[in-house]
Amino acid sequence: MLEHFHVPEEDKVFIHREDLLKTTTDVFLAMGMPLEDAEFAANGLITADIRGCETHGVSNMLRNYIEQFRDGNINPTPNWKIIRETSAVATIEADRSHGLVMCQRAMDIAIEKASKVGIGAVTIQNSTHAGMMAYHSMRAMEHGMIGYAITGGGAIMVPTYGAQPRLGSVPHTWAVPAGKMPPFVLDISSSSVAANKIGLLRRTGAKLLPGLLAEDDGTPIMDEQDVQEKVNLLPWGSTRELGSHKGYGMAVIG
Amino acid sequence: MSHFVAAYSVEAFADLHRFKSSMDDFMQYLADTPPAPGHDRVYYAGLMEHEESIDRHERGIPLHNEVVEWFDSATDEFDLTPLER
Repeated sequence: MLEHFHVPEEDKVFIHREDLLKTTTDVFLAMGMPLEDAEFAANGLITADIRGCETHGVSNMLRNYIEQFRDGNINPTPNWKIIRETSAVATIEADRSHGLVMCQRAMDIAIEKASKVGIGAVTIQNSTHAGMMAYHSMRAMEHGMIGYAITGGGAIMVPTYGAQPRLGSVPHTWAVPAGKMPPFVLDISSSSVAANKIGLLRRTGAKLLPGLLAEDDGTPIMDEQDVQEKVNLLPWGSTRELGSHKGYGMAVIG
Repeated sequence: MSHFVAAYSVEAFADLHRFKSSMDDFMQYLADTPPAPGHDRVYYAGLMEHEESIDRHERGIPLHNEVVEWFDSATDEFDLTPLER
């Protein structure tokens, strides 16, 4: 992540991973999640923080999740089930389960199928925010497999030339195992910036970089300025001249 | 909200050991690219995060002051053990 989005040096408080994991797990348990689910969810947030992706770590996401538990958007004890299945694929009805948990369980199903027939793919409906999607694709690497994970939903990004947000920021993630070298882990949104990074900019008081957001009328903002109240993300590429149709197209796939 | 996950068994396509060895060679090749002026080195996706994770395992995770204060209020509200620091 660019230095621009990191916590300013003077505001940093260093917390050990184990301490943050324990307290975050406790918070999820307080929301009514079973222990294993709380551990999946907490580990997902802390994995993002450990990897320097604090956009999807505790800072940005935990408060949001608590609100969603309170509003009833996230079901802490879902009765999720497979509603369609073949030897290689499955579809899960998630009963508003937390995406951080549901995607881990879905990846386990995909891994089991891939171990038998080479490829496993699982689609999940009626779930909630799934955190850093690389957390899920990386799970496949533990089994000598390549992982892929994607999520969709929301309308926070304008299509190229568009004046209204019609798409989510749709991250695509790939995790490819290596031997001695660190693995190749690609986690990229289809927008010029992940929506969560805008929240980070607000918290740190940093300026908006050119090419991240659009004006209310859809015009790309191409100069540095304060973060505006209403957020319209631009597709990856920012403008048509710089290739925004590519990000737009990748978001539609989600 | 909808999600999609997939797993591809490398062993189903090729020998896993040879695949990983090829990945090592390719990733090393990318990381060894001479940097352009104004840059110290070349990364590939996941390399920076891997190095960051080693550093943060040792030094801890840098949270914003305001986030730590929020944890204190949350643990108090839910009657939990406060965040160690």
